[in-house]
Amino acid sequence: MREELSPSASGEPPVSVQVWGPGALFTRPELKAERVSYPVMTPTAAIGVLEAIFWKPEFRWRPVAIDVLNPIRQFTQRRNETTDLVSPSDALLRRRTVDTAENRTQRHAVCLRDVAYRIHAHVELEPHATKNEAAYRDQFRRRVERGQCFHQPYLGTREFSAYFGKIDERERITGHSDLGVMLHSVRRRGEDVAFSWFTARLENGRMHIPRTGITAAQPVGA
Amino acid sequence: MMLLQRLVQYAEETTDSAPFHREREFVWRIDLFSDGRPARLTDIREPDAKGRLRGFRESTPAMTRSIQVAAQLGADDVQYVLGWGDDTTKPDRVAQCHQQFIELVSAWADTAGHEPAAETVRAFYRDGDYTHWERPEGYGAKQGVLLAVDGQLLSKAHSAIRFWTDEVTRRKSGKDAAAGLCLVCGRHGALVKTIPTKIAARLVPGAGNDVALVSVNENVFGYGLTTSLAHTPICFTCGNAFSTGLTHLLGSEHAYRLPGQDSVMAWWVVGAPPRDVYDVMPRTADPGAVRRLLSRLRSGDLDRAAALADQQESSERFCSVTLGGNNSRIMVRDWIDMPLTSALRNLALWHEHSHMVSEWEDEPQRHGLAILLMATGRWEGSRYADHSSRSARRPEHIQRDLLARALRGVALPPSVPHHVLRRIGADGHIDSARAALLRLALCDPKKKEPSVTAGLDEKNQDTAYLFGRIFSVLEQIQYAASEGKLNATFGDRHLAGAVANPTPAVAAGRKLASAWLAKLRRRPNTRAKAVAFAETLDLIADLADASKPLPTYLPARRQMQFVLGYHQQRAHDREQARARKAAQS
Repeated sequence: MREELSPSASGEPPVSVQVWGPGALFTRPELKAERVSYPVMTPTAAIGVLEAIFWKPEFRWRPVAIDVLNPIRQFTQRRNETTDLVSPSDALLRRRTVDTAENRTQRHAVCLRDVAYRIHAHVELEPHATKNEAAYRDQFRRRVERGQCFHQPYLGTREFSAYFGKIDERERITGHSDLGVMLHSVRRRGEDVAFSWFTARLENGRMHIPRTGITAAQPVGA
Repeated sequence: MMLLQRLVQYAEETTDSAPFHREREFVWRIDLFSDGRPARLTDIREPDAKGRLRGFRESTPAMTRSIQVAAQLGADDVQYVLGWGDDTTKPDRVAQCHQQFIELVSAWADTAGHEPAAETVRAFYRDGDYTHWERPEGYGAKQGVLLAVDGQLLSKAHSAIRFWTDEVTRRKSGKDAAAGLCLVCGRHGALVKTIPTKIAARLVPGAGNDVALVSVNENVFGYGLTTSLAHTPICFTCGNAFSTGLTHLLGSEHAYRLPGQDSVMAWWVVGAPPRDVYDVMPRTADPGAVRRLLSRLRSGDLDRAAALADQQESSERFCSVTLGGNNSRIMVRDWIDMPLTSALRNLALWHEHSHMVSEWEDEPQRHGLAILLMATGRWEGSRYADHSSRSARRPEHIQRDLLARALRGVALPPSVPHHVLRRIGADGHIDSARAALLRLALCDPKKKEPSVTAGLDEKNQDTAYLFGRIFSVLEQIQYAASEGKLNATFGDRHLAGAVANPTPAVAAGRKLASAWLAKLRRRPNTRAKAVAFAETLDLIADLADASKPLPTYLPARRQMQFVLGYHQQRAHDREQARARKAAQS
């Protein structure tokens, strides 16, 4: 099952976890006011799930592949939301109050129904790590076996809670499809945010994630 | 592949519109002449088929403008081109609009050098003769005006198109112009801050004003509470192309936009001629093409082709997008990108399952999308309420539910047959289109062999179906006994209740039938008919399993069976009657 996945820096295969849920929404960046989901879990959503289960500042997760186990099916929903949210800085300074009812907006979403994924990821150590990769991988496996998590993982948005467990032998879906340009990672340096992207493709139910993405916008002339 | 990529691909293959241009209606045209003849203003409206005056539609430079003043090049509103306001405008703002238009057109004239058109336009605004023109009666400040020099529209000049592209780039890049990877084409280029061209409101149901497919116009929609497309990198070429492609699609014969519905669906085909699909689409089906498609389905050819296309990632694709408006934004309600043969297989199954016998024809009839949609509305005694009628009681999502069944091959949502059953009860009217809707709901959309027949199923032993058949026969007995002289028939009195709970109605009918049959037996010319009716009743009743009585209230699926039994028995008997009549003559 994991034979074609790239090994970690120390030559070890990735750790894997299976996640599933009745709904998911991995919002496409170009269609996010009226949301449309990617047909497959994104790498950033996978990192969110992994970190919900096990996170330490001594390492970070690098997903290498996501397997799709259920046929891709959609559903839509439209609901009331608000346009009145405060930024963290506003919230800290308490400059204004939030009036949700006065700032209603209806938003539509094309979501995924009955999803199940197998996430394969490497542990990458930070310089100040005190243990080796294997120790963190084992801790992760133990937590998955016990069903332990820091908070309930979710599939793209918090409304769609995810269940997780050990991987089984379920077959991936068949067929190939191009998924377009997908968000690879988000890096923050102080106030600045930098995105990187990759060209996503589903091949026999597996989406490979490159080690690095293509960086996005640069100022003209930079 | 993502929706925007497909739309850009479509635009590149099918449209030749200049960049950042949009079609709109123009009421006036100003003709300028380089040979010194005076300029003239002409009303270019012409009467349409209904005799109403309509302006001239032309594709001209256009860029999204919300509330701010932003002139377009060479063709714009009266207030911009001539500086004329009306009751709805403020003089200061009109002056600002006009000034900006003059500045823009002068800037173009400067770049165009010594082109005669540039000189003429410059002279027109420098001399200002138009400020003394008599204003036509009833003009509007927001009516469109085309500017032409020596019979050639200014906006069509090559130098104007180039200048306009640069101008849009300058305006839409914003102060902190950025370049980077475009999400759509995957290449590096200058990135837009907001999408430069919008889709006309008339093309998208529910749109309050012109709409953008990609929009981050509130900070809660953007990453890190930011507006604009700072975190959604899209280049100018793609930003223009997908809007152009979508506008072209929504204005084409490939768009399904029925009045009273909440969405518009547009479809296209990649890598294959669209005509073959057009001829089997639910609204534009050609009987010959559907027959050929069904023979491919029955021979198994379509199954094999669909399986192969899935496996080998066929380059022949069927795409469709279903859109609805939400004020100034577009909601993507459905997006399909599937192998063409899979779509054709789903369409074949749709046609197979939407056959239904009719009271008036011998062969089962196919029903187009518009007829099926019509049949979900209120019956007004002799016809269905019009699409646009507010009292039609037609749900606004029916079109997309039916299209999802036809194209995706997914089951109709339960709300559709529920609604049809409610309408049958309220209207007391069942016809082949309503029966076809129920058959579509009952048949598995993935299975070639339909679980419900198009015509009378004499082997069906479902008690609800049999009660429907009996109900129809009872109605006919009463009609024959009274020779059609009835104010309210048995069906009129009992059908609404019988759909949900047929047992009391059928029991009451069978009691009454004794008298009706006796009446028929007394007349020598109807004695044989009485015997035939009695035999038919017994035959149907014998099929029912007495150990499985119907519940007091039937679940929806069994209500559908009752309606189908009723309709198919009635159609069958009418067909028999026509055959007897033909044999006698």
